[in-house]
Amino acid sequence: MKSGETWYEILEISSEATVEDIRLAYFEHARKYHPDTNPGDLARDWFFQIQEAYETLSDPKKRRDYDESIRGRKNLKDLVGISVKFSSSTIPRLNESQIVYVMLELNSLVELDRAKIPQNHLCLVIDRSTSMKGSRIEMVKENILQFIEKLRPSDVISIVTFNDRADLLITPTKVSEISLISEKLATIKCSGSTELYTGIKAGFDLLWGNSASSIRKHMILLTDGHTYGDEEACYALAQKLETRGITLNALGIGHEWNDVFLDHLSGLTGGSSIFISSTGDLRNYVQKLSESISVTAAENLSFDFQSEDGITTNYIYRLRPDVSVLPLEIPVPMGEIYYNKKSMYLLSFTIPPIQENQKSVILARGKIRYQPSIHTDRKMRLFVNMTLAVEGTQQILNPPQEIIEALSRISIYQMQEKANLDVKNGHLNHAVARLGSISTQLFKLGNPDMALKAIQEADLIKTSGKYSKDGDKQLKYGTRALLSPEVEKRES
Amino acid sequence: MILCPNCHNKELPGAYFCGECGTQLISLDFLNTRMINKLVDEVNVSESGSNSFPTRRVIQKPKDPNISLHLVESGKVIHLSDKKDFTVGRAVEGQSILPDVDVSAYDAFSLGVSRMHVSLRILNGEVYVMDLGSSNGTKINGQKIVQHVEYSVSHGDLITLGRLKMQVLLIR
Repeated sequence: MKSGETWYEILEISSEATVEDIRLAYFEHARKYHPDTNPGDLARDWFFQIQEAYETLSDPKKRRDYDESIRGRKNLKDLVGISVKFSSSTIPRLNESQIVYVMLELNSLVELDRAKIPQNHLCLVIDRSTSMKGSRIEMVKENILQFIEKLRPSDVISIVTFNDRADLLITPTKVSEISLISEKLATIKCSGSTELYTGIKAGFDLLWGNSASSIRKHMILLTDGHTYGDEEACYALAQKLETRGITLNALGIGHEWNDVFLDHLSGLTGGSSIFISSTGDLRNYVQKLSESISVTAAENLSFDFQSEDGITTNYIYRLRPDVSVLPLEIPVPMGEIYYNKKSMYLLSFTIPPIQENQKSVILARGKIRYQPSIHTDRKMRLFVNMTLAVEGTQQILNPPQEIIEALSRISIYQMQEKANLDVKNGHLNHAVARLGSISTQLFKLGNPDMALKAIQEADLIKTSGKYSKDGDKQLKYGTRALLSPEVEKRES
Repeated sequence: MILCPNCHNKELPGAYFCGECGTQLISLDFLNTRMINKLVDEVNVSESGSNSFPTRRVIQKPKDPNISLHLVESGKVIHLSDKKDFTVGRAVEGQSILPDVDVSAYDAFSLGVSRMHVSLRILNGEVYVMDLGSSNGTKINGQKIVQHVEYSVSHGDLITLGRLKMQVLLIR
């Protein structure tokens, strides 16, 4: 046991955990660290710790005494609150498949304490292939300077540039000690091709080498092109990043980059991809990032769950704080929670026909693990149970309004994805028809600009067989941005 | 299965939006955009539920009206009866799908009426008009309406299909 560590920390639970929570946490840890599967003294010692923790905490009297003995030493309360809403309050007994939507909201239960903001290490990984030459790289340089100015003096920054090999431009340096930054940026020369893996790997080594666990680590990738042949290696690396608690956000500049790839890559780490079409976009992003870094209450959220047999998870969208389509790999990387702001997710499940004597449906049961930013050396967990009772034979349609509003926007985003696919597969008439429907729905939602954009693109596809230069990305990231409930508030 | 009323795509029960054309499949009160023209005592009947879900209004079911269309230019009146859902347009010979109400006798071609121009639907005592994607559009009382969206109309409202004007008469 590390000095001062409590039984609660050993089991990664809060002091408010229920008897059931304790039991679940114990079984999970006991399985993971059982001496039969983990030879060695260290694992055995750890296993005994887990045993003792469980013996103490599962006995109400022992637990009370123990709580008394550690009182005031540490705050071991839950730091994140959870709320779950369903599109239907019960599941009707149908003999065909049906869909249920779930809105999951997470919020910080503690207030921001400016004195306790942890140190950050940001590693910028910058594409310097030939295509970045000129205005693109200049735009990046200019924004980096502004970005560094916005960081706190204690934060650490490092910069890697890459084409088919990676170079270290700035070694990890505290912002307060940084010098000659513009001179260094001026030495970036653009040439060669884009090989993302080399860049990300170099960034990872820097972040991980600088490995004090109390430092929060972020990687920001700026690229404008496709990577060839190393996609799988990149995905594997992204998973490694995730397990080390490093978030990767990918910024795509211009129109040639591969949005599907960057989406998935960043998604695997709990980050997201962002479309940069102008220097204004980059400025906004830099502004948002420098703000969000200091208001993160919990990070590295991952949702580990199981559904009942036959149930499929259709999708999980993160609607807030930033919009992203989450990869359906268990555990699902969920991103971060900010102080004073809920994180929102929308999940869709397909349920098989209900069995004759089935009383309830377990959509998902498991836990969300997170790392609170006020105790960066601790992992905590929340138990999640999405179970609905089976009742009646009719669907009761009383969904919470948030779910419907989210769905109306998700349906537009998904149609846009289908239209993209249609264009790729040469089904131009389908694509045009779909874009027509998209524009109708956008008009309905009160977004005439985007609706007209959809019509323009439909006309182009009809005549030329393809989107305008970055039309597909504009529509994709435009309709995706609509998913965030904030857009509406800002406009109204 | 749910059949999308717009594009006939099949969706599973529980879906709220058509995956193909984005049409909303389930009608919920808080989502419909429409003009509010309820009587005061009707509004007061609405009940609030105990859960956090927005409750649907419980209103005594009003009587469905009979619709008549008064063609302004010719002065003719067309009575519609029995059905709850009509399409209005211009029948063309050899066409497989015909509108329920054919207005080709009223100079519809030169006035720019499409073959399937609008639908009229009676639901819970209200009448809704939806443009079915016509070439020359539809107006209600001079206001152009968005295609594929239902708008509620009241007695005396003027609907213009292309340039063909007709007044809605509702007899309750």
